[in-house]
Amino acid sequence: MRNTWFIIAALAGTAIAGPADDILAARDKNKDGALTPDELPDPAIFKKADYDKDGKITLLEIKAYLNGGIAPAETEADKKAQREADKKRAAQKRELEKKRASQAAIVQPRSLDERVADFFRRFDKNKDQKIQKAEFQAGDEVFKVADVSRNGALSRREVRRYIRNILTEARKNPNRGNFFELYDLNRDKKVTKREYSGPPSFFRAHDHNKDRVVDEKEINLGPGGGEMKKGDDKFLADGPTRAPKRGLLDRYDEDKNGRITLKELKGAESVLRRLDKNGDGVLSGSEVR
Amino acid sequence: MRSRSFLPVLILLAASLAVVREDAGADSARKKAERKPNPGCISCHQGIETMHPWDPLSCTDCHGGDGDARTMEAAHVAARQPVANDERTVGLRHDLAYRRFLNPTDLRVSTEVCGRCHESECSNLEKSLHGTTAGHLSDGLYENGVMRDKAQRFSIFPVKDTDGTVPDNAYKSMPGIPAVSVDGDDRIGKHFSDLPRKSCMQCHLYSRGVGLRGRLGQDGWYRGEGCASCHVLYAHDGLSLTNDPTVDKLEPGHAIAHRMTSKIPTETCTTCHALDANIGMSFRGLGQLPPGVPGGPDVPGTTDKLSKGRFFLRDEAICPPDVHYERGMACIDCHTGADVMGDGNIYGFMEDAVGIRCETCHGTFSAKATLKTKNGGRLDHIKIQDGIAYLTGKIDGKRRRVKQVVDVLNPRHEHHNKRAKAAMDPVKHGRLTCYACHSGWSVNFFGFHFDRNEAFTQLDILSGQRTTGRVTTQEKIFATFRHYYLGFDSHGKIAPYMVGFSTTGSAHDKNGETYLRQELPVTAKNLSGMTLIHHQLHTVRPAARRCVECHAAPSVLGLGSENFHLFRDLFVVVGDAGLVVCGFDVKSPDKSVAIANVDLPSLPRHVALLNNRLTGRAEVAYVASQGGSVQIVDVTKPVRPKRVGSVNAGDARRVHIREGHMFVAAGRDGLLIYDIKKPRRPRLLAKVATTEARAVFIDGIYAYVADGPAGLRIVDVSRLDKPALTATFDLNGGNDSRPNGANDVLVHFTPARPDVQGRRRTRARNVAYVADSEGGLYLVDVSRPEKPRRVPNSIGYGRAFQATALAFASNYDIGSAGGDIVSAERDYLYVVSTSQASSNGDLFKMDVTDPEQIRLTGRRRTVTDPRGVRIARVYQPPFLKQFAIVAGRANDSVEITDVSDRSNLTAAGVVEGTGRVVGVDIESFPLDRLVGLDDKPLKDVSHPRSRYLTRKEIERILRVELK
Repeated sequence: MRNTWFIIAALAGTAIAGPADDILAARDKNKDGALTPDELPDPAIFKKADYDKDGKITLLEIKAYLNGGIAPAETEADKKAQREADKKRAAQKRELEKKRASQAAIVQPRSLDERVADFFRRFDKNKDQKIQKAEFQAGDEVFKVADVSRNGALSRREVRRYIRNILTEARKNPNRGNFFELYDLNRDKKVTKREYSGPPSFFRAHDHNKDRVVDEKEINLGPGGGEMKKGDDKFLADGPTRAPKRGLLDRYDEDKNGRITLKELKGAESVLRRLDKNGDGVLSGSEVR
Repeated sequence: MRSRSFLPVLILLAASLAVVREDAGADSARKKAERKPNPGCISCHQGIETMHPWDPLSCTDCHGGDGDARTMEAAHVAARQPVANDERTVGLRHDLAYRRFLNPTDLRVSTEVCGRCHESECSNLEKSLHGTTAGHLSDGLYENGVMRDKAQRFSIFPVKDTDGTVPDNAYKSMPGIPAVSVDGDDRIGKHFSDLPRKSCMQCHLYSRGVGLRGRLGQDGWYRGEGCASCHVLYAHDGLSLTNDPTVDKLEPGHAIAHRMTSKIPTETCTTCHALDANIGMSFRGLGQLPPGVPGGPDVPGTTDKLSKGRFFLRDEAICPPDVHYERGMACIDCHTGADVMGDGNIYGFMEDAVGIRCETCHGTFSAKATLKTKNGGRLDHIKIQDGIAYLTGKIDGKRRRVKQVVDVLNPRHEHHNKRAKAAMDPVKHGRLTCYACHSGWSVNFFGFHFDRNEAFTQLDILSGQRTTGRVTTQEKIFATFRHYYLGFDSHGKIAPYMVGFSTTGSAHDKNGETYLRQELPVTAKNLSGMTLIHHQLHTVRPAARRCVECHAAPSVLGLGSENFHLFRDLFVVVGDAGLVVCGFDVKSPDKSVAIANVDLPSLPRHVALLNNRLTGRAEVAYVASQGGSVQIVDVTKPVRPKRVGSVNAGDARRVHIREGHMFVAAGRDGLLIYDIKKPRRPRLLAKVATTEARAVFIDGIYAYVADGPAGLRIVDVSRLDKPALTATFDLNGGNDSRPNGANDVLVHFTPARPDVQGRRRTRARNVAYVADSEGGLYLVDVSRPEKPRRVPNSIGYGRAFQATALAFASNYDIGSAGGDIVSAERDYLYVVSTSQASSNGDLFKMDVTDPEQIRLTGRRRTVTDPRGVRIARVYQPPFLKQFAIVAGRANDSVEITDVSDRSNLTAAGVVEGTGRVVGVDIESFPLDRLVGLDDKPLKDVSHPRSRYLTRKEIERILRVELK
């Protein structure tokens, strides 16, 4: 009893008194089913309670200590609880390791410096830290835009500025061509919401299955949603229009005399006036063909 | 000795001087004795007021006749060449003695009468703009292509300047306006040339106009002629209060009293300076009501009394008076004698004749007022005392402090205004006239229409003969009191522009049959004569316009708006019958007909017309088609549309045409920009990547793209070959996990209302309206295109409202006669939408006058699955009507809906035989577009030294960053 109260006093920092389960629950910060020295700061008690000297105090050991140091018989329930606690600990550990592994796999986006270095690796054949026009094989227009100083050679500074501008523009306006290059940080051919940093509307438009990941299939499918009703042109026959050609005579020349009067034109006075070039009040000749 | 020799000389000199003085005194006394009213005249005209009290004259001094005679016949001067008592203006040498007798200030005789003492004034007046009315006559003739040269000017009567040097901006002489034979001519300009001598001639100094003595019902028109036009006052009702017993007090057309005055009130000036968009109205806070709009004592916001045969708009919220009028000033407190009566030179343009400037009284950014006009005249009724300028009213004698601009800019002065200081920067705004910013409002009657009917005759005012052709000139098509325009005046300063004499015209033959209908004028430079001209609007308000009203408003700078498009005759639809040309019967829309069709090699999706710049008539149709092309169809011959080519255009969805350029919204293939200066051979200039471009609209230097799931995309197209993305706007704010569905877009600038009674100007902004199949309708404030934001309180209307297409049209709604429904100028957005549950289509009419409080005002079930809508603004004299033509799946027809009424949308007709359609476009002429996207002027300017802004200047103004 004295021991019990001693433990209670030792554990007074937690202001918890009670059976072994409560003590463990109160002190087991990392929820691994055992108390470590940092969780039970009194070294004297720890030494005494750690019966198997494994550096941890299990529930059973707490029970034993409370029991006057006599390890209680390990009940089936205790064993089961212990097994479950061990399983849980193992699962947590696996998950943590997996998370760490996946984080480690994320490649940090290529920095601007890396991109510039790549650029020079590709084009600076003579390694003179300048890219001459003759060395550059990616198009005259690109060279012209990048060569701000107009001296016929690209310096590191000019290349850096050019790439930075391209990236800025591309991020504002992602498309199928640059999507993975910009946002697929771990190069797994998928872009998660976490990886993506472009305009939200683009991501939303291509995440067809709403799983917060856009893969190659989805990007090739193109933007979805918000479309005009599907089958909007279905009412029109496929292919070219093939309606019968109908001019004024076909439509309105009731008496087939090759002329159209106002009456035949259903009284459309202003229309007749517009078409009546010679002002005779009737449409005929070149006025109808 | 010396003194004695001079004395006789002195005495002689003194004596001779005394004689001279005595003679002068005797002569003066004799003259004074002669200047008493003639006893013979007074025997009948007893009690008559003294006309000229400053220096009493006898009756016969002015009127001639026999002042001693005791009978009327003996005393009066008889007419030797009697003329009818009508508006005619008799010739310069016509019966001068009689004319003098009737009115000694008649300009035909004033030089001999008034000119004995006022020689320079009389001589100057004949040559002044008041004497010649040169601009009034000549501007319209140039705009209608009758005159070939802007500098050519006509006068009422021939006039010459023989009294000295002639400045470069003045004329040595001007011919009198000739009569022109125009009957049967097929050019509307020729018909216009009949107007000046029949209609415009009512207002000049050689006659009384329509306010003739004895003619009833001309309230507001009664006035004198010659010098008496201004210097003798007439009552509004033309009735006299004179003591002269011989004057019939019940007969209108007499002066108030037989007295001259130099205190000429504003109401005298506005006897002539009235009606239409006239400064005389604006100065007093009045506006002419559009046709059909009720006015009168029962209608709030209008005048209570008839004047000039009508009621006027008087509503401070719309057209407050000029601040100078509000403060009790009259026209003559600003306009000098030289401004009004001339300075001896013959000017052809108002800007040369009028010398007063704001700076004359208010000073400039850097100096106090000089009190001198541009022409060197001096304002004697303004004095500067201890650095403060005071104006003493010429009529009321009241002393008023005149604010100085330098004081407003001076942080230590009591008149300092921080906002004014920020704006009134000589670097930023040194090229603006004061009233470019300080004009509170502007009235424009676009498409002003005249009619000439050869079945009737009308008096030629100058010849006195009735000639064929009765003209009417008071017809308005569009009326706006909100929209505003700027350009360069003839002094190189940016000033407001307004509609001048530019008119559409119709002509009828001897049987009354119309043979020219609403034709548009063309000037000698082969530019449209539907012009605007710079003007001092006389609507000055203390609060200046806000920055956004110019710097975010392409329409203000001359690039035009979606408003004020005058429909011509035809529209085209595309669908399974290919392209079908249809005729819209403007008189009876229910009689509209399909004319002809042409097949297309692939299914169409949308059509846009390239209309002629001078006539508004359709020339080429561009049809966005499935299969990746835009088909090109020549429609210059409506009875035989002909496919003439095509261009690859990706996933072409919709097409937008602007002066020489075609913009194609091509889905995932982006926005494509083409040069179509050769309309049949479009040349690709540039391509902009988009998510799914479904529609595009050009406003100013930006292309607004309805980019499907990506929302609204704004692209800078100031360099059409190098467009650059400016901004993307996520319409549903990113909070919603659903993508956007932007289907259509259009942009319109919402103007502000003026400041009144301590209330600030209302908010102006540039708004993009986006039709969205997910969210309905979105309003985006694009006053700063680089930072678009949602208009506060605007709502999406939700998924039930799958908006597919938009159209815009303002209207001056006609209220009820009792005034319970107020007449007002409102902005309307027309939206076609498909119901989510079914394919039924709806046409919605929404009041977007205040974008923060849009209201659904009308709705009508329309064709199934509507895809396009256009609003045809049709002038059915005297009213402007609005018809919606909706393209949608239906049974081989197109429906026309009358949307003129605010809420009641009614069926107006059906055009059969069109096939099932997916796109529609109309022929129309944009009346407020002054400069094209290709930087070519679309309209002429009638003053030689004036011009519109260029594209480069417009771009520079639009790029100013607004804070």
